Amino acid sequence: MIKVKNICKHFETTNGKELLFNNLSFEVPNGQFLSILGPNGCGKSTLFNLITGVDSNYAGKIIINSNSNPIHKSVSYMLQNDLLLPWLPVIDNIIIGGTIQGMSKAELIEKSNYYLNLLKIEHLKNKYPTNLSGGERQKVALIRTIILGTEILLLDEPFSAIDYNTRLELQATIYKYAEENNTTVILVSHDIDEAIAVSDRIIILGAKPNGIILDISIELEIKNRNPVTARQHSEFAKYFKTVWENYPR
Amino acid sequence: MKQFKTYCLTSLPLIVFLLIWEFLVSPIGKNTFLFSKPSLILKSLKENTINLILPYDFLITGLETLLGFLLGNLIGILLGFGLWYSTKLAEISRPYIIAIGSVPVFALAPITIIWFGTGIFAKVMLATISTFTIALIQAYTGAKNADKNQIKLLKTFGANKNQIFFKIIIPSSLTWVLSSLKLNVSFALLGAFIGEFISAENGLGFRMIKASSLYNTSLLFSALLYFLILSFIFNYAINILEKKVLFWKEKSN
Repeated sequence: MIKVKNICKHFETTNGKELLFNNLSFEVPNGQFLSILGPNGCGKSTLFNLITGVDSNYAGKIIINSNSNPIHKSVSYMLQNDLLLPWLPVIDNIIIGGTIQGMSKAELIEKSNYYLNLLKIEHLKNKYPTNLSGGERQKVALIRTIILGTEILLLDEPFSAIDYNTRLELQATIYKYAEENNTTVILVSHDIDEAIAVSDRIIILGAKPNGIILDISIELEIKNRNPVTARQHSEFAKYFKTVWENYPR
Repeated sequence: MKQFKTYCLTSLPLIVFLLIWEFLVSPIGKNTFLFSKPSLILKSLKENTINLILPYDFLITGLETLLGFLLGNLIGILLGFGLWYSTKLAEISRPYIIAIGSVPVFALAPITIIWFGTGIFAKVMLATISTFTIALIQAYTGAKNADKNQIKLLKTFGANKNQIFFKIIIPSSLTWVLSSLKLNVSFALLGAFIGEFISAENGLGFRMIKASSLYNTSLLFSALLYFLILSFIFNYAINILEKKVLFWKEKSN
């Protein structure tokens, strides 16, 4: 469960302080897949920095699972840029977060091997990141994120720079993973299709400091829902129309 | 075959230069006294190598350079990385670092000789002073230029400052550190040379000054050749170190 309560956040510009969030509030229940859409500069990535504790300079309150654990034990974060460390082979890049958190190396490697096989990149585990394609790098970054097994995943436009097929494959992997593990996911995206295909709910943030301008549930009744079958659902176009009409331009 | 061709082409300008030198200087006797010529240099090189004068000087200068190089780089790199730990300390020490870096090593040579004597230690100190500032600035710049997003990522994993230092700062600064090592080969040689220039009884710098005062240009060039060999050895060692340390760049290629 994530509770974002009355967040006010300013940032410094050459013209002085500018208000980014003005009393922003929303809640994400356990196991929900929430997508946040919005124009550039509306503060989507900043919001993640606040949730992960990387930026603590704000007013208001963010509560994560009653704040019983250190934030990093509950939340893992995946960015648009894969941020693989070029001096480490793929396998070490994958387990770096877990080793920092003191998890067992053997267990981390076992889990890595499972996901490397699942995403069909097992043969790359001893390669160095610069030998990998953009899609492969993003797959590695995804494994690095989900291997931590946290209850909350924050995904900051992780699919924007990769080819369509790989994008669908990664969306499907994350969707399945979240469903199986009852993981709470917040996905920041510019892609309306993507958001509708994977989410239970969509929030649109307006240009600063307007806050939330749309908050809708996505209810697509499909057996074995995945990003491809979701796109084929008869309701998909209806949701697209609603989101598109409210999307700030 | 292609490599052999490249070697030939690389050597060609040197061979042409040596031939011109040899045959232009020869007919006029006075010029030989001032400029020497390749055949005379070769003779001097052979004599002074067989009687072990130049090899001994080579070892002395090599030892001074090596110790100064290691000490200067070690202190500089450690301090440079240390400054990353404390932004306040970095701000306070900035003017002092600039001041130390802007003093020519030649200006420090007399006081170094007074403090550390005329033995090998004074030359080591001069080589240390010559290399220290560059190592410090490069290590600090490398640490400061580490990818902010990589650091942010590690913070989201709950990494503390030490973990960030060892997992991000050190590996990402190595390119900067290695380029400082390359630059510092010349500076360490210069420091040792200046020390020998001011006061010494052995070493290639001393030999060159002595040869110069006796107008023994052939010996001067012979010592210079040994100096070049020393520089090549250091650069070669740094290149090997670079390949070992930045192995991931090689693997990437």
